[in-house]
Amino acid sequence: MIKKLVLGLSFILLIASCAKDKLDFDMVDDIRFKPKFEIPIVHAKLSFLDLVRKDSLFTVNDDETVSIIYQDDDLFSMGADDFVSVPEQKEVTFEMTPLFSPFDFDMSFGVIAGVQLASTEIDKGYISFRLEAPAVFATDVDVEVTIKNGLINGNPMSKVITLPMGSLSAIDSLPLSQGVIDLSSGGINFIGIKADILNAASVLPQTGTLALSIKLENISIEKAEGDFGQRVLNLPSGNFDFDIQGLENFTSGMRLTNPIFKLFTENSIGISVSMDPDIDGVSSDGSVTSLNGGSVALVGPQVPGETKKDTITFDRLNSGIVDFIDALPKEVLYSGSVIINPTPGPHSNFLSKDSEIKVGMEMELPLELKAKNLLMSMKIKDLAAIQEKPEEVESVGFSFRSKNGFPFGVQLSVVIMDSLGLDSVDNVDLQLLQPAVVGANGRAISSTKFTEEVLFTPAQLEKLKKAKELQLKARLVTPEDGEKVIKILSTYNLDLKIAATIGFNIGT
Amino acid sequence: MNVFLKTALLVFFSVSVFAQSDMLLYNFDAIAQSLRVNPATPQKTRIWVGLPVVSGVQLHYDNNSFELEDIFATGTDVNANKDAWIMSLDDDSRVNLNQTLDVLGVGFRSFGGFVSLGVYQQADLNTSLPAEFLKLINFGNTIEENKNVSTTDFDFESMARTNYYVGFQKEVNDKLTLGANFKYIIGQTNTYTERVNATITTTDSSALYIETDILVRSAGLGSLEDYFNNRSTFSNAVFTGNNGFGIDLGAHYKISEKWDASASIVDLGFINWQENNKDYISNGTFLFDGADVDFSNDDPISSFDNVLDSLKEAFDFYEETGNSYKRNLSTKAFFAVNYHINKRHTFGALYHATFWDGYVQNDFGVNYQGRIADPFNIMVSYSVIGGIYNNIGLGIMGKLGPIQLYLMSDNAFHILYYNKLRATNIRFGINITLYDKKEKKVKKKKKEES
Repeated sequence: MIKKLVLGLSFILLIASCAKDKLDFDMVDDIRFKPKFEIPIVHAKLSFLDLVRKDSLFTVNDDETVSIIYQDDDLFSMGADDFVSVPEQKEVTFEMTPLFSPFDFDMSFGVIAGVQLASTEIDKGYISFRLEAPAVFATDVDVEVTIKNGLINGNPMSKVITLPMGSLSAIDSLPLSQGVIDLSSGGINFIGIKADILNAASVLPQTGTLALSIKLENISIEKAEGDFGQRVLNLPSGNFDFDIQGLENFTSGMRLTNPIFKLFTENSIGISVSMDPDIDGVSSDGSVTSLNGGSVALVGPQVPGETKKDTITFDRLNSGIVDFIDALPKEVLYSGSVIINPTPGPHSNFLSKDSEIKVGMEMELPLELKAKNLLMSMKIKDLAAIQEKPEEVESVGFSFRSKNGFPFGVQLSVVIMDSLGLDSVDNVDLQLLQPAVVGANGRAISSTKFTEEVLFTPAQLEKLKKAKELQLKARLVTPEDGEKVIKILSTYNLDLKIAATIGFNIGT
Repeated sequence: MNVFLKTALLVFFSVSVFAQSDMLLYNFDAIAQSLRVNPATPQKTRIWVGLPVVSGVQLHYDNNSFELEDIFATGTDVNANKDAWIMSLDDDSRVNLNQTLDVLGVGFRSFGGFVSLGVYQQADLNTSLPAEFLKLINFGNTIEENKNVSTTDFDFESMARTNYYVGFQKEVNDKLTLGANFKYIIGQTNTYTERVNATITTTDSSALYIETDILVRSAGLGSLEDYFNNRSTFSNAVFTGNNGFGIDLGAHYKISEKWDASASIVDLGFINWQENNKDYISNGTFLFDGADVDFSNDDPISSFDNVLDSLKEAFDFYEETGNSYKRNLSTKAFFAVNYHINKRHTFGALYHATFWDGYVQNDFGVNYQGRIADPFNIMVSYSVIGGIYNNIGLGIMGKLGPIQLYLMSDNAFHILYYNKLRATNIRFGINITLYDKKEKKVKKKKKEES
């Protein structure tokens, strides 16, 4: 019985060992799964408006063309003070004696050289008086001072100043607000003064002397008429950002063929000027490009209260606007000069304290362009799908299927950056989009379907596994190798599908 | 180890094939566990007691799609083997696992018949293999065959339950014996696929068209999760509110001194799964052709996770509290004919069918039953199990006084020669058996005479 059992057990062991010999379970470690999956990554349905919807500068015109319009309604302004400012006035002193009263004196209204004022309404200010006597009088001395060519509220513009008995001096003043002085009556910028010692007969001593000093102080003008003269003034200088979203990724290569720069003027000063603005664009690299617009004449309003509006247009025919925009300015600097009354006199000018020459601007960039080397770039920083377990990724490829309604093609360069993201270590170039078919007027008339596939070589894949990021550099080219001018319409759209084909090699 | 894994392992390893064969056990009337497959099998013992836990342990495994040698044959390319195996899969490819553990069992003669009662725990896992999806995972969707993969026939069910049974058999007359087992069942966990209709099509433009109509229902997983998270007791995990009933019916007919025939139907019944019900649903169609792009962003796709999230959304899987449901037990039917050459040597033939969710597995077998010596029985069989032809079974039973030990397998050869293994089971245990005094006296007298 035991023999049978031993025999049976031996048989069992023999069979079991035979089975073991036929199998190699160590091969479990060798099992690899190598599926290759085609995975859709991106489906971009992109209209032009999607691209620019976050930027209110883009405007769709009635004919579906698109313009970038940058506006600043109040770029700068020049007020009445810039044209007729009232300088510090001189004090004028006259000698009087009671015996010969009254007295007439002349004085001038101080203005900037060349300005000849006629009727002038005073907004603010006053006239100051000072009486001084070398020896005291035994009685009060009452002196009435009148501006002969001035009225306040229809009344004579006069003031009585009293030098008290026994005093050597007295001061007083006369507010001139709402006062009107006809500075043309009697000369240029003329002010006539009458000084009358009202109690001259009773003043003692009769031969005593008085000095009357008069000065216009803190004068500002409410309204003025006259000849403001021919002068050169500086335009206000300043700057504004011209950082248009949507263009910011364009680093070079685009040429907008029909940009327009407009200055809007509103002139309520009765004066004609010749404006010579200096407008310079500063690009991101610091280079400066001038608009080269030249000088423009602005005719003032013909009657007080009127505002004369003008639009000055700088376009590709009368300026260097194309080059100016081509330089992709990030900032625009403005300054310049203005010649008032550029034609020979006499001139009939007028102003009020609120009148001004106000200047606004509009930069209109119709998206009519040609591009040969227009670069756009973006980065893909998340490479986790490839880098999380790089040893399990055996191959990587991409397919691009597009239906392009835009009238430009795109050549894409996929740049593999090093592990620090500083230098490129390799790149893959491909034609991403073919341009839509473009009609004679520069408008796209039918979309173009195009498929492109790219497979990373094993060497490129190894670099990709170590890369910090991918840089996608797209070069946009308009038809005819960038020579044909195309128009961007709001109706253009792009349908782009990107799929990845990833071959895995996954162990157990 | 997370709860999900624990639960999965518990279900997996606590598990009988719905297609459990029991080809040897059916005719192995020397051990009381044969009542499990035919309650009318005449019992030779007066009393038997199944020792707790060790009286019956049964494990079953079968798959009809590969042998270990197909994959791990020495000197071959394991990856080529794996690829060939996956390519050979079809809608009929299945894997079944089953396990039973006798917690307690007692049998004795009484009421003019034989009474048995006890408790055993049972776990099952039965799944078809989603051939097309396995091919997709292994080869990807770039090969033409995998551009369109779908499944409509995929089915899966796992179940863990505890059966409390009372059985009785009665000799109706000299020829006919009838028997029945009545079971009260407490189900611990169940997961099954009500429907799995899924299609993934990769279009010419690399888009994925996904169409799903999937409903996976489960019950009791929450109880296990609570137990593993120490939020509940073991008792709560075992004694759930998922109750059911089952009945086994059997008949044994002695045609003549040489011939007898028997038949049984086992596990007619159901379980109401009404505790911790969860449904897992995916229903809809989705065309995924890529993630959205924000060109105003420096990183327009922003993250590959977005792509994966979009894909995940495409399947739209969600979980919701489910309604209670009833699942029928996997019913088995046996029919056997035996020819007794003499009292020591018998040849038999057996047919066994398993019914589950409209699926029927047919097994056939012939066997030899030998009572080599009083304390030693042997049984040898050849069976075709689930379409697998190389099943040579072996069962032995020995007695040491009242201690009865048994061990059997429907594919014993391939337990050892496992490189060709596709299906096997093994059952072993220890019983305490007491025989009729009368029979003992006869035996003693025969011994003295000899």
